[in-house]
Amino acid sequence: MCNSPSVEETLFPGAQGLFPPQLALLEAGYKSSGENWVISAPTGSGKTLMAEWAIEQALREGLSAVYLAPLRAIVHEKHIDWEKAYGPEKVGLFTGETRRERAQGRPRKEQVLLMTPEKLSNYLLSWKSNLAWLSRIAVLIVDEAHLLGDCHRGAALETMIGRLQRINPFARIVALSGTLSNAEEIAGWLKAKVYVSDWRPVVLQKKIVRFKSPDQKLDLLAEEAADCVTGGGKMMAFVNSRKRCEQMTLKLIERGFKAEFFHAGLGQAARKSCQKRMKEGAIEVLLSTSALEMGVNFPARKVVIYDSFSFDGESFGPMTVQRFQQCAGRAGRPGYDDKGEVVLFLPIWDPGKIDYLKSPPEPIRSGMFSTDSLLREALAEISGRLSITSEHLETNFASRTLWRIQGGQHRLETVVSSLLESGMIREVQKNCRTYLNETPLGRVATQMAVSPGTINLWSMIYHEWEWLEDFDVLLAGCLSRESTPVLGFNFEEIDGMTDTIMQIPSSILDSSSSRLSKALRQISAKRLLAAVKMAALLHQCTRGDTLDLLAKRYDCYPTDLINLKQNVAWVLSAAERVLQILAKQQAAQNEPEEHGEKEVHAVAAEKCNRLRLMIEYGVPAKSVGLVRVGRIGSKRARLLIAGGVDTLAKLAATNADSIQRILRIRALGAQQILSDAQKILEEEQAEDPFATESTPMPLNKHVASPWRWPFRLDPYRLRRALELSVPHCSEECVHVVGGAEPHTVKIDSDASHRRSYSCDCADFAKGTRQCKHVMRARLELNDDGEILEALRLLQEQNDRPLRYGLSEIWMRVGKLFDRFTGREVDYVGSQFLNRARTKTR
Amino acid sequence: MRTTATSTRSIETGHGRLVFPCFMPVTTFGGAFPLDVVARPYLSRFAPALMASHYYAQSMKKPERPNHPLFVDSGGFASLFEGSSVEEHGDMACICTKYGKPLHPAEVLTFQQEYADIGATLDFLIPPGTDEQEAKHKQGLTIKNALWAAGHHVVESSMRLFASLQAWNAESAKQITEKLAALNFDGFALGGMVPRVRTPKVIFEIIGAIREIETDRPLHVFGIGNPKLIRALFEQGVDSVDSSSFLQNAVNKRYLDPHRGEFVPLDEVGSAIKACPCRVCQTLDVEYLRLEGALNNLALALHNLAALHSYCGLERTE
Ligand SMILES: Nc1ncnc2c1ncn2[C@@H]1O[C@H](COP(=O)(O)OP(=O)(O)OP(=O)(O)O)[C@@H](O)[C@H]1O
Ligand SMILES: [Mg+2]
Ligand SMILES: [Zn+2]
Repeated sequence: MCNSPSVEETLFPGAQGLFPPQLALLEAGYKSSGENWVISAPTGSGKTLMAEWAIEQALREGLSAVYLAPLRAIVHEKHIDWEKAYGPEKVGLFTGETRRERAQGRPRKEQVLLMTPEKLSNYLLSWKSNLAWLSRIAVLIVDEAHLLGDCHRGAALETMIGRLQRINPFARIVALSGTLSNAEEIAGWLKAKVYVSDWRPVVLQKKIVRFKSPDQKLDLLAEEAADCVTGGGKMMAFVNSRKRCEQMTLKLIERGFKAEFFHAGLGQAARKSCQKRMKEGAIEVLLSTSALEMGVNFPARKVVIYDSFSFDGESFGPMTVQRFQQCAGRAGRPGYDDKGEVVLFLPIWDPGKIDYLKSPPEPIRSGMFSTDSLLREALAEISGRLSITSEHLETNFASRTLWRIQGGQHRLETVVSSLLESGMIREVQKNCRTYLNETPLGRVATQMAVSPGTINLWSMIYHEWEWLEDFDVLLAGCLSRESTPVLGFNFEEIDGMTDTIMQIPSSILDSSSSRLSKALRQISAKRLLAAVKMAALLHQCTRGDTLDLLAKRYDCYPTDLINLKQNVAWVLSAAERVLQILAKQQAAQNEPEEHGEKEVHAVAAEKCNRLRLMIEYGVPAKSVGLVRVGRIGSKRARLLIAGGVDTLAKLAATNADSIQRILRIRALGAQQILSDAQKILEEEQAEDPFATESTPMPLNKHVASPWRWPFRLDPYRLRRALELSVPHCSEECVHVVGGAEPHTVKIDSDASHRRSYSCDCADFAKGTRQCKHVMRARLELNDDGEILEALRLLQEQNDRPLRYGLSEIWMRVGKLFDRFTGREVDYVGSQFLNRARTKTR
Repeated sequence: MRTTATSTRSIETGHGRLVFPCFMPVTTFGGAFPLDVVARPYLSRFAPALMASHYYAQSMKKPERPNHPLFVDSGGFASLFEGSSVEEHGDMACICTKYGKPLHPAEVLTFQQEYADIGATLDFLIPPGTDEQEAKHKQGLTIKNALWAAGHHVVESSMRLFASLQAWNAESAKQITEKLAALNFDGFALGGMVPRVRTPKVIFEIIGAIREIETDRPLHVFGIGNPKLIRALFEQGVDSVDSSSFLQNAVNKRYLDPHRGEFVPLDEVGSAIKACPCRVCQTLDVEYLRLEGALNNLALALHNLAALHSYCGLERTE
């Protein structure tokens, strides 16, 4: 049926030689069987060909194949290859992550469909209108299937597979991954055959290099690089922060290497040119965060894993074996290198709890263990009419998940009642049965792909604060889960941020911390601080500060800000609908006389709309009306503003000639813009005859001076001191452990028994007399001076408004490692306060 | 004496070669049966051709036309509607019902030529117990319409014209077949057997009589969905049958036991599902099939269809 040459022929002319895993699969009847398969075989073992076999089988049957991969980079790469192999008319790319792409059509005649899991998920929720092509799917290929264990995206993939099986039970599932230690379990879930191999095209030689102190790491890295490069190889190093990535690159360049860095903060152009140099072979050493881990290729003989700790967006923790293997797997180019070298840097004090060289990767654990995911997916079931009662939710949905196999027992009733409570679904009685229907609020969540948590957040904020200022709307936007990337907030930023927000009108910033912690109880202190920073940044952005300026001011990357803006704009468009629905509901409940309130609430939705336009199109408040005109985007708006036409009213009042001149467009287009503008202006005035350019704001009574930390000692270091422990202590010296390295604090007493402390840490060397080790030592020796006072202040129930309380919130930020060690952390030093108390008694 | 050799016949259609024997699942258009809409895209995975009644096919929108061989019947069952009457003209007869315009052979043929790969001529059903006189009269009209259609079938049309047959015993079958076999039809389609499924002997006699005269061209029997009967009919020389029983049984939560060839209530299925090799049963479970719901019913219908094919030995082997 398919005339195009098979991929086998095009890619491997004359090669009868298959890689052993490929051969094994052939012999197991993979190519012609209609069964599901779970395949785990290392990086570079040729899984792409296995995907292609499945695709070709589908093509032979005149049906279609869907290929899913988590990263657009991978999907795009395969798209290019397969257009060549199967013909462009047969292959279609449906990624649709950006707003514009979301509007993109659905598959029609294409038979090889490349998508991200989220995109297919979306199609499945409106399965009835997509049935024509969904029913023709012969195989679903899930590449990089370990995504199932991803805490953010795993649940969507898992439920999506289950949904496709219900909508099209004939679709065969083929799951491919390089690192699945529980392939059997996953195969059990999918009723699939399983194939696991550890064959690699190039043998890996792994070693661990220990360092005594972090400042040795650069030398060690240079050594490894020299060793590799002189032998004609290329090296790649993984570090855990973008900043470090850049710094290390500079240092390596200083030492004469042709080094470059690659990370997600790079802009489009920088990324492209880096990739080009990779291809040309102009790079000897490439430093990267995780961006390259999956997908894009930099063939390297040696891979150095420079940091053994990783950052998952919330906290630092020991790197997973999964991640280690994904990095390590990139070492060694088949055909060029006879072996791949993997070097892992570990501190000598690393307890060796994880044996990176020998352990299998962590088993994939269902993403549905997260309550938020569970809520979201249950709601999606109901919205898509895939489950119409609680019983369906159990039988159609929950009982068929990996989550359930792995012991997920969360009662579906609690999920249902939580969705009912938050107004996202409602019960309908019919024929003595209780059906579950989605409500308008629920529809916003599914249609706009925002989580139930976000809808809840907005409705909580709506009910808690009667009046929302611009900043409040932005803050709520930034608190929403979808507003990524979350920008980190450092202790050092507290004072600057306090000054920044001091003058910004905001109901939320004026609320006491007890009110906040009640209203926003699911939000961690760290996330709240990050959101304040992000909101302040966006607030300045709406006041005309450029992204480059803001990126510099807040120490982040313009790419991050572009993404953040896009995501917050998306959240705000969802929020606008949420607020409209809530306002309508409230208006329906209220007595007719209580008119005023209704308008206040409608204002919030209107603010969302205005701020969204400002963020999305980068126009100032008074010019927002311009972009409401369909034919005007950010570019034209900027031209108009530059041309003096900076409001809708002015636009409506000018003539077509000047519009034509300013925008350099045809007369007809200018005429249309003019008449659109006049129509919109008319509508706006009809809606609100008293509309002025800006909404009057209630007065804010701000206290002039911010509250500041009253002690000389640094609360940040104090907090870190509480994380340390003391295994050995004498009057002369205290050993302090628990930080990156152990340290020793020495104590000298003078004649009057006054102690003076010194520490061998870098911080102390820089002149910090009260480094965290010294503080910890003083606490241990009960020589605490003002430390106990400071702790007491921290423990006191403080009810200052948020805008004065950033540092207090900071003190509540969770300890960095506790998520992983599971250790109880005494955030406020209660043990020391209690000890002091007992002593006085 | 039985001939166990089942059909080796085939015909070319506008949507490819149709190889017999085959089961043609019935589908409807226009949304009267929601399950049909959901199930339709999957039917072609099993069945080499689909069946639509002229009555429902009229609601078909152009893009809904399955890209698969489609048999459109004549809608002659309208003559059984209450208050319907037959209007005779010189060389053909129409059916007038209380709803809409009369069903005219020309209208049926034109529609079939536009949409169908196979069309059957407009016939008049003869239920069991019809008196001889009346039966003969209706058979006469059926013959008349077949002759009319043969004369008006556009030669360039790729639509295959099947002559509808109506008979109540071997003798009457012999008579109608003798008259129509002389013409250039692409095949024959026997109607009116649904009310006679409880007396399969009668059906076998009728088919025997037809096959005695017409040995070459395909023979279809309308409305047979009982797997055991289908198997028997294939053995008797029938080439194809059609039915919506796999759908109706799914709506009534009845499961086709692939080994016994019987529809049983889902509650009594037990472990049969574990033994069913069909893709649906391999992927989903009894609890799932038992629930009401569009997709739950779809799954059951698809199992029923798969099981019918495997029981009747019709699995596609390409
Ligand atoms: N039989 C073969 N003979 C020679 N080269 C092969 C063969 N099969 C695959 N390759 C090549 O090996 C390289 C790696 O293959 P592929 O991308 O399929 O690996 P993979 O298993 O998908 O790895 P990853 O887990 O990183 O996605 C490719 O360049 C591919 O062309
Ligand atoms: Mg791959
Ligand atoms: Zn079955």
